[in-house]
Order: sequence, then structure tokens, then C-alpha cells
Amino acid sequence: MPALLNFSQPLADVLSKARSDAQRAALQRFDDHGLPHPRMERWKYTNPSKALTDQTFILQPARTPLPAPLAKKIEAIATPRLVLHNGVIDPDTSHDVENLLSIPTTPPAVTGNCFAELSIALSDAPFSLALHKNTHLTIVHVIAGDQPTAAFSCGMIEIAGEAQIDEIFLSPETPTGHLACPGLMMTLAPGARVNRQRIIDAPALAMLATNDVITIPERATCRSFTANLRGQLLINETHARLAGAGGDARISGCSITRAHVDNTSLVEHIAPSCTSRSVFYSIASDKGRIATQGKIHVHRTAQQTDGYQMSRGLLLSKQAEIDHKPELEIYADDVKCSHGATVGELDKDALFYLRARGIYISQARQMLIKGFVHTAIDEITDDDARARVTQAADQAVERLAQSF
Amino acid sequence: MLSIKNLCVQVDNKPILKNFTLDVKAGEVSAIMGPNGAGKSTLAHVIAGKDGYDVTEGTVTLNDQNVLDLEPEERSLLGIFLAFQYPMEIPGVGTMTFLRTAYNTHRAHQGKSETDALTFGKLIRQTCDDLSIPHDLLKRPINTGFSGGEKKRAEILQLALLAPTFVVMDETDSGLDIDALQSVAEGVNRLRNKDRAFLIITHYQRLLRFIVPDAVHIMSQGAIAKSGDKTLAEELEAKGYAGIMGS
Repeated sequence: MPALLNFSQPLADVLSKARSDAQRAALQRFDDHGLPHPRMERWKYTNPSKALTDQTFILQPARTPLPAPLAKKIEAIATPRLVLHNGVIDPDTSHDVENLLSIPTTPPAVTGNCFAELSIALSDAPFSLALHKNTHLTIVHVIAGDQPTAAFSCGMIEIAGEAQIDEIFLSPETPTGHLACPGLMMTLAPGARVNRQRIIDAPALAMLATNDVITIPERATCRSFTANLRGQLLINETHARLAGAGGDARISGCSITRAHVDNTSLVEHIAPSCTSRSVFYSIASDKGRIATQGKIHVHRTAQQTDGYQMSRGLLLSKQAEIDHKPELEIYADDVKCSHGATVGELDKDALFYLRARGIYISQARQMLIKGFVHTAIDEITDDDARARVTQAADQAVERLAQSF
Repeated sequence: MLSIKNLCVQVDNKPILKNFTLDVKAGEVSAIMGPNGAGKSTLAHVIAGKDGYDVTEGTVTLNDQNVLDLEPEERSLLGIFLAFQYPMEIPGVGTMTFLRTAYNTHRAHQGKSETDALTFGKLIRQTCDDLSIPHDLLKRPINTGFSGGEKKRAEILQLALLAPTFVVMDETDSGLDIDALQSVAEGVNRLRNKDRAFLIITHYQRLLRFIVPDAVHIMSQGAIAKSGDKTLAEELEAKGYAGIMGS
């Protein structure tokens, strides 16, 4: 029988059984603080406590066969693919990843991030991947169950050379809300490069809290782009550590929602001569709310840092809300850091310009909204990856446009 | 063709156009000149259907059809084209996507089938060549990073593509050097024909050296103060607005 997860009681009391010492310690740390709430500065704009406290989830139920269209979609993914079904690797639908999997190690403790703690504590089967050659990998997250389901996964990926990682969410649409917490620790080798694109197109009622810890040593580059396109509550926490000279971190994304998205990133410049760039574009309609919090922390050792952060928001209704919270914390003195934040409505003059050429207002609005989000997607340098994300984002805009 | 009768327009309760009356016949090029604040751009915007203007009286008809109750896109589909004084930069929206969408919307309105991307690509490149417009403009987002001259040439490209019946050119000469001005004027002259009329709004006579008008109207304080043929523009250049209005 799978265990039940209910946040109204201490988790360690009911879920410690059959877990490792590290997992029990993480559970205990989670229980010490409980679910976060808006009285905490980090969680001023997003309230996981309200969303989760009264719900009971079935923790990682056993796999059941997927609906045929979904199985076909997974089958059609041509790259090596790692399928995480309710947080656990599905050997039947995963493909060509045997050589990439390595023996799992105990994940290091991540303190101060409750969802990272949960990913570690409640993951039934942490996995490790070693991408040592130029590899294109697709990670597929499937969350499925007739009852509200909770899925936690914890992955560690070592990257040498060049890697392309696509991460997608394919789940059957269900009338119940699921909870997924995929945690990923990416560690790059010196000089390694990774392009990671994540398309979060979850069931409408799903709640998702992703957390990434990315370590970037000397001359390594990480480009990560997250498209938040569907789900009731989407939380992305990214912690990028520029640990070696000449490292480059590009943590960007776009959010298109009528629900709630929270993007929180911390880019830590620890070593000198590193660059970072974060570009987040947000589109909120109806009563949608998007919070983007981005912090660049420049340590005293990180001279000649070049950091850039831009957050732009587009409000499509009077009830929608977009909150930006950029933060620069700088302890070195030879540093170039800048940030900008804007929120606005669709440009009326631009709309008139398109209409004056005969384009109907609904289509003109869609063109402008897509144009806005494409500017963010242009951060993706790989043509094929950019096309995939563009297609998914365009579909999200079209879904949103149905309420215009 | 276009007939404006007793048009009164206010912005924030301030009268801008006052009993403005003008007729432009098919095949004609009419120029409207006037000092700053005369209401020239308001006239252009009201004809094209921009928000923010209160029409309190009067009519604007194109071939006897009232246009004031139409949305901007409906006016475009009817055959009205506004060449903007300040064409909008729209980052993220590709020029090709924009042009093809506009073109196919016009075709659908005319009951014609959609033009596929390949056929449209050939058509637009040919149109560019006819107007000596570099293809490079097509690869960029709408007007984004274009020079002043490129923006105005892109307007002429749209004009050629959509083949409207009535064209309002709102200070198309502003911000152009003499070479760009000539090039834009050449484009317009190529597109003049007996079924198409132009209303050219300008401050200066210099554009009218290259696009020779059939009629020149001088606008002052929201109405036409004086009308004449192309020599009126030359007279204006010599005497200035104060000199003309005083005579």
C-alpha cells in the first residue's frame, strides 16, 4: 500500500520508515519549519501552505498503464529518454539510458529550501546520470493516478563535454490535483556546456515545485530555460553556483498563466570573472499571478563579475498580478551588475498598427503576446530547441486567447 | 472616393477638427499642409480609426460607405491605408509573419484563398525588388532596429502589398534624408493609378517636389483655410504659413 501524504501532521512521524539517514534528516528539517507561508519574505507572493495543507495525496502509487496517446507521445521521443513515472524511473518506457545511469550516491543536504528537502526525503529512488559524451537527453515526467498523487524525484547529473537536456511533463488530464517535486542537481565539469530546456505543461490542476542546484566550475556554461505553460501552482527554484573562474550561468524562462507561477532564482558568483544572465518574461491573464524573484549574490572573491537580470511582465486583465523582486547583493568591488523590471499592458499603439493593416483584434493581440514571449525564448540558442519551446508557448498563448 | 463632411473631432473635450470638409477623387493626390497643431495627424488617425478621438459631428465616407462606425481592421479591409508617421517597432513579431497575416486577411475578406508561405515569399521578394527594398528587412521583427528611412520604406512595401484604394500618408517625409525621401517618393509614384487616391500630409513642400499633387490644401486650426493646385505649395514655401494666411 502506498503511504499517504498529508501536510497537516509532522511528516517524520509517518514517513520515516524505510528511508535512509539522509532522508530522515531532511524530513526532520522540513518538519522543523513546515510548509512555507507568506509571513516569510521568500514566500511573500506564493502560499504553498494554503495550497497544500488540507490535501491528502497518495505518495508515489505504483505505475498503471498510460493512456495510448500519451504512451505514443513518449515512444515518439527519438533521443535517449529517461521517464520518471510518479517520481520513479520507468524502465519500460525509458529508452537508451542504461549507459548514462550510474550508481546513485546520497544527495547532499540542501538547507533552506523546503521543496528540495522534500525531493530528497521522499524520493523512493534517487538516480544519478553521467553525461560524459556529447549527449542529447530527454527527461519525461509523468504524474498519473486516479487519486491525488504526490511524486518526488531526486536526480543528480554530472556533465562533461556538451549536453542538451530537454525536460517535459506529460501527464493525463485528471479531475484531481497532483503534486510533483522534481529535484535536480546538475554538476558540470570544467569547460562543460549544457543547454537545458524545460517545458512545464502539466495538467490544469497540478501543483509542481521544481528545484535545481547547478554547480558551474571554471569555463563551464549552463543555459537553462523554463517555460511555465500550465498547472494550478508552479514553483521553480533555481540555485546556480558559479564556482570556477570564467563560468557562465544563463537562467531564463517564460510564464504564461491564468493560475499561479513563482520563479525564484539565486545566482551565486563565488569565483572571479564569471558571467550570469537571467531573463524572465511573464504573461498573466484572468486572475493569474506570477512572482519572479531573482537574486544575484556576488561574493567578495568574485571580482570582475558581469551579472544581468531582466524581468518583464504583461498583464492581460485587471485582476491579474505580476510581482518582480530583483535583488543584487554585492561584496566585491570590481563588478558590473544590472537589473531591470517592467510590467505593463499590451501596447495600444502596436495593436492599432496591426489592426490598421487589416488584422483582426483577437489575432493582433495574439501576435503581440506571442511576440512578447518570443523575445524571452530567443535566449535559447539551439534552433531546434527554440522551435520546440516556441511551439509549446504559442499553444499556451492560444489557450489563453480563448478568454479574450 | 473619400468624402469628409463637417467633421468635428475633440480630444479630452478640446476641439481639434472643426467642420473639416474635404473631397478626394479616385486617381487624385491631395496634399494637406499646415503648421504644427493644425490637426493634420488627428485627421489621419480619425480616418484610420485610432482610439482616443471623439467624433462629435460629421461624416467620413469611402465610396459612399460610412467608415466612422468601422473598426480599424474593417477600414483597412475596405481599402483605407495609413502610412504612419512613426511606424511601430514590435520586437518578437517577425515582419514576414506580420505581412503574410495581413495579406491573407485581406485575401480572405475578398473571398480569395490563403496564400501559402512559399508563394507569399516569392511575392514579397518580388515586391521588394520592384521598390528597391532590401530583402533583409523581411528577416527582422517589425520595424525593430530599422533606420528612419527603412521604416518608411517598409510602410511603402505594406502599401504595395495590400493595394488599398485610399492612402493617407502622415508626414512620411519626417526624419528622412533626401535620398530616402526620393526613394519613398518613387515608391509612391509607382503605386499611383486611376483607381487609387492619396492624401499626403506634410509640413514641407519638399516631398511634393517628388510626389506632384493634384490639389494642395492648407490646414489651420482644425479646418481647411485655403486650397489650390501644386503652385500653392510653392507659394507656401516662399511666403510661409503666416504670409499665406495673411494674404
